[in-house]
Amino acid sequence: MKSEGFDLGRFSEPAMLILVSLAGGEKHGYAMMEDIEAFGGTRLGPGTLYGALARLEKQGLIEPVPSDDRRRPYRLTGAGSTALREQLSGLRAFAATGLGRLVAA
Amino acid sequence: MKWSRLLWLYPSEWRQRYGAEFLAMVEETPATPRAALDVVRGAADAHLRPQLPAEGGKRFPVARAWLRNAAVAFAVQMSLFWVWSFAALLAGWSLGRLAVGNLVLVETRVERGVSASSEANLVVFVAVAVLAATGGTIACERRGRRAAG
Repeated sequence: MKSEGFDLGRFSEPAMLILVSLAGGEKHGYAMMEDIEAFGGTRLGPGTLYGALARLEKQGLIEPVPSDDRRRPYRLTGAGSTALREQLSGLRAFAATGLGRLVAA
Repeated sequence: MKWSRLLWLYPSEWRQRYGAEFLAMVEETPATPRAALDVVRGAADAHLRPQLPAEGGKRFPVARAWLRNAAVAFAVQMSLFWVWSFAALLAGWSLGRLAVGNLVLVETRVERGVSASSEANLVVFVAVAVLAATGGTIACERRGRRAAG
């Protein structure tokens, strides 16, 4: 199932990685980069990360956390949590279907 | 590597909003050619597909995008032409002198009596820029509509 306004073109994958990273708590850009590399096995470049961050913020799925540090942290919004839950539920159903068919084959 | 120089490739609105935190992040990032290329790609994307809410609220967004694309296409052509012209000039090719002459907007005649006008070059540059900007803007609009569902 695809949620409204969550199609980010070629930034879909980085956007999903960022949302999953922020689901574990607020983080600034570099911490996201490290976290994504740890759980996703891929290192997002700075331009790719901030391109996706800006779009996610524009769509209201994440928001900056007030901070005096130059490294501004971000967190999920309610809409972001909902969108991520929908995406992951869709993926779970997709995976279950595929695995079920493999077992049957 | 001077990341702050690459930051200037981004639109000014983008720099105002994300510049400080972006620099804080990249200063912790290992400076590799791959990372630099990623920043250049990100900057091009920020120009072609506005990412800030304020940019979406501007008047005539398509016309602004077209003008921006045309300016970029024209600048790229001029840059390539400058490089080629001076390379040819340094190599001693008569065509190089012709090209540089055209570039400074004067009619030039080479030894063999071949003439060319600067206006002809400019017409070609403008025509290519118009075509590239129109094609690029249409492609971005279609992509944007698909992304919006």
